Amino acid sequence: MDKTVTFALAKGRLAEKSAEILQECGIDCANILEPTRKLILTDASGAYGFIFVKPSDVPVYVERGVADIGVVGKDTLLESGVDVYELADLEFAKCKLALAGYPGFDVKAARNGLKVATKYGAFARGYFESRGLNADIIPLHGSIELGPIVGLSDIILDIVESGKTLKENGLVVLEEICDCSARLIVNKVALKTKSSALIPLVEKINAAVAARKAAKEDRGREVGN
Amino acid sequence: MIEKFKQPSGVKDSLPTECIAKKKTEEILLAKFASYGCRQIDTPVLEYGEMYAGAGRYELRRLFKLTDTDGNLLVLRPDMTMPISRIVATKFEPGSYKLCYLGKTFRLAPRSGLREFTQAGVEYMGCPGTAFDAEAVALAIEALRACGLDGFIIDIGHVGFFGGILDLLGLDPKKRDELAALVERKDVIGESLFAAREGLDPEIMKLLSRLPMLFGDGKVLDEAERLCMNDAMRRSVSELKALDAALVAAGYGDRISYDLSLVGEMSYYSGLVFKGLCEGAGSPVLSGGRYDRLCDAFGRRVPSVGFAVGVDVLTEALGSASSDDIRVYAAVGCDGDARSVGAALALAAKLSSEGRTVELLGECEEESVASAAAERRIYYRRGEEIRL
Repeated sequence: MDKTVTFALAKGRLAEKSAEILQECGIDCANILEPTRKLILTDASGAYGFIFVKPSDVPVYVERGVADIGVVGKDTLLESGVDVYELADLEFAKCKLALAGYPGFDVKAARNGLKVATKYGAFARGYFESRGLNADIIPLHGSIELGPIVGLSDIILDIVESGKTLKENGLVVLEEICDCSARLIVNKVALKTKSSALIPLVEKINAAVAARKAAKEDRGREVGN
Repeated sequence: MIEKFKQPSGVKDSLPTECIAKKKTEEILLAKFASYGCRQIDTPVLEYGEMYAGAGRYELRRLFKLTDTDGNLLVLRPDMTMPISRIVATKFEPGSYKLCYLGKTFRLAPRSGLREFTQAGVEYMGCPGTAFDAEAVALAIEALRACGLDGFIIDIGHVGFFGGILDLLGLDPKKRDELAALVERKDVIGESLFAAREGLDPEIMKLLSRLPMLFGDGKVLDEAERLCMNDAMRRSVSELKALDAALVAAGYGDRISYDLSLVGEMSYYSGLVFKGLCEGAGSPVLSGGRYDRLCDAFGRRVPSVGFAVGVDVLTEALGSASSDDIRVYAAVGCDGDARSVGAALALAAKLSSEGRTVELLGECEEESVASAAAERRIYYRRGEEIRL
């Protein structure tokens, strides 16, 4: 049987950041960091395969088992609702899922027919249902901030990193929903059938993340001094 | 308007080669179940929605629904275990029954994926105790082995372990479900956020954060034993240890692994739970467990254990290994003469009753018969047999 461990990585920055961590775990990721248009790569040893997909597709590849393991933002994971193991917080690509709108807008007061523009339609539906709010979810694919400005929606549900885009468009965070960051997800069958390869790998990745965190705290102290 | 060639999502045609492979898998499974003394049973596809309501496993919104002429809600059965429980509790005398089945089940999948499944399974009804638990797992292994499946394991858990933790926490049902979902995903980060929000006891939190990693070979049971904080947990671990000892003694040690965080469907199962996992198949090929309280809804306590094999997933996992087509023994053609057609039909009946496969090519030229793939080629002209 094929014992190659296959990663699903999101094209772009998430892949680069993931490759840095894998490099620290002793996996040769030189060819991943090179610019290429190839969608499938293997490392020098042949023990690891990498497939590069759209960020929102990473959970699907892992759930269906064509990839054993993947790196994906918590926001994407929440939206996808897939059945996978979520084994580590990689502590990069940090952001928050939040409700944003014009300053002073009262979400709780808008009991009926609250209009919400978002890229996270499935998550938003569940979120407002659980709060007992009857919201009209307006699915968009980009430039969500436009929603309240052009009068398409009352508020938006989106990820917020620095808050700069919101500020430039005169919007503010009304309510924070949860913290997000890159997560390591693993196919439920593969974790057990390829455990001899996957468990040590997950442990190494966790150790690498912890080491990075410690190094960052050290740097923080030096700057503080 | 729907184009005539369209099919609803989540259903699949079985074309001849796929159908042969699937039937072969089904035959092997049923033969194996029968050889362990299971008697086959069949139930209707239609049941009242009410029967599944409150069973804890299927939300009504996940079932295919129809309305009966009197306004009652009907559903396409999402499993065979409930109907079989209904039969055993209401139509059989109290006692123990080993039953097996093969049939289609239906579920409204939340996302993409199949919505019609062929399941082959066994139910040991009125069969309490570890010996029957071990037998169910052993039969699962033997059945997958008989199908020629390679590189599979049976991953075993027990709902009592997590149930014991829940007893310590005293959460309301909604929060129990939320925590169970986090454990099932092995989401330690989510667990710690949950613990902070709910103000959980740090001792129990330590255990909860370890729980997702309590998987592997029989050795994890030793660790689990040390972590027990009440009798419910201790009982579940001692049951698993007894099961492990029996399965290892029977020589199944290399086919089993344990995961104490297998906690899905907590309200359905009452003890042992297990899944058959195979390399290369992204989802389980089999799942089962002990459900001692399922029949309570029908007014009788029938402690039972069983499992269902997903025939579609299993057949796919077996791959091209079993794609042999039928072999034609004789190809028979004829001219338009009624005596020739009659002779061809008589020969077909004779060969068929001898157990041979015959393919009639109808009214045709001799050449069509001559080029047919068969052991024997026969042509009838004016009622006379010509061997080609």
